[in-house]
Amino acid sequence: MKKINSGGFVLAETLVVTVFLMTIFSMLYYYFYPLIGEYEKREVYDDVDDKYSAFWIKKIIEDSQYVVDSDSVKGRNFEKYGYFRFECKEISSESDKKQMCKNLVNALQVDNCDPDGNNCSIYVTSYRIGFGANRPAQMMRDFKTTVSMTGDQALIRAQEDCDKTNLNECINDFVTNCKEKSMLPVEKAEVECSKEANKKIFPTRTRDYVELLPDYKTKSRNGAFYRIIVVFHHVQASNNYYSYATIEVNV
Amino acid sequence: MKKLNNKGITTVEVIVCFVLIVTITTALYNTVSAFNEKRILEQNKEAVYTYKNLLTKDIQEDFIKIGIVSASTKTNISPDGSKVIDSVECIMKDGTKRQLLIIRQYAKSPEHPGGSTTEDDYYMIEYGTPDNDFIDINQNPLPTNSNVMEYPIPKLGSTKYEGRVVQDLSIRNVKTKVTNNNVLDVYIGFYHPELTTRYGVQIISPINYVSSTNEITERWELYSH
Repeated sequence: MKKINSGGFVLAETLVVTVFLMTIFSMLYYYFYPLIGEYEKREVYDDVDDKYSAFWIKKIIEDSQYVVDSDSVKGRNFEKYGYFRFECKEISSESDKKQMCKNLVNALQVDNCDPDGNNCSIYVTSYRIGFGANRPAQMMRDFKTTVSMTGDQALIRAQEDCDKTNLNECINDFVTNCKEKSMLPVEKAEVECSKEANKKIFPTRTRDYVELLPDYKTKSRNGAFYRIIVVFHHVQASNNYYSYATIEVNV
Repeated sequence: MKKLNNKGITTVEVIVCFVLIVTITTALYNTVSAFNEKRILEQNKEAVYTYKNLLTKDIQEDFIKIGIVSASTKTNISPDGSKVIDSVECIMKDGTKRQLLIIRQYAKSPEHPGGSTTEDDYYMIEYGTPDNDFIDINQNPLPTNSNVMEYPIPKLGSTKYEGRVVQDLSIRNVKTKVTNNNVLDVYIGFYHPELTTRYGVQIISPINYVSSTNEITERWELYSH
């Protein structure tokens, strides 16, 4: 009769199995933990407060007293990069609505707003934000493409406040102009103005949100051609976090 | 015939197995209990979110569909400081009234050393159309009003402190403000030992906003559709 192998596992066998199991568990850990982070990140996307906040901004944009000239820097920025920033100064007259706009964006804690309700992180885009190959001829980039640019290309985003075509010149001009206006000593002004220039560039958190949004390929059921994407910076009650909302605009 | 190995398990083998099982169980226990804590935390978050969604929707629906003409805010603090009632009174465009009451009764606890030694923690938000006039928050006890709906905050556990019940979820930061008579800004902040002050209800609305929509057609020509 054949002799039964009763030697048990050799060290090599045990090691192979251990390494195999370790690999499986490491992979599980590697893929599972980012999912938790992703879920926590999405908690601040389009929650009820932010959706209503975006609604009130949409109402101001839909108001006929809010006018954007297609031949302005904003208009050109829209054509080239698929967006422009909403600012309260675009409300046509020194009406109550302008004052209300300032108070509203500050109460809503819209990110990056100055006390006059300008330079806010409220991006007006076309209803469809990702065009791919179907981009309209006059549009250089759609919003999703603009937001996802990195490196030197990112500087292009700061062009909104500048008419120049040379991007570096545009950024330098912004910093120089900012420094001239600043009452700070030169070294501090340099730092502060560079910070200001950087604020104009989309941070990673904003890029994450925009990339997660659908392209909105199908037409709006309400006939909307535009949308807004709003970034909020919550600082009250010792908080410090950013949240996002988007809503279509019927103009 | 081959003789079978019937020596059984040695003490060393048993000890090694035992140590292995204990190690694995301990590791698993820590992992499972961490996940369980996470589950409870998420459950609490969900309760706060559901509450916040319901309340915000009910109030904002009125503000959007009807609109506010004027708004004012009041606060009443009891002499010992343990009870605070905030009230937001709104006159709507259709002539009706809306009142939002935020009632906080703090029991004495390490979080609120100045709290009441005779009353338990009590938190309530009330919102609706008061019967005739606005509810006078200076009255004690507060009069009941059938048209004002109660929104009790979620119960996420409680502890006893010096004989009084202290809720884990409480209302802590309340802001009721009317800016330049054109923006109503209400923030009701929650506090929970694990969720901290991260969650709250934010209700912001323009006051007496009349939308101008006459020239809306083709106002923008930024993008040829």
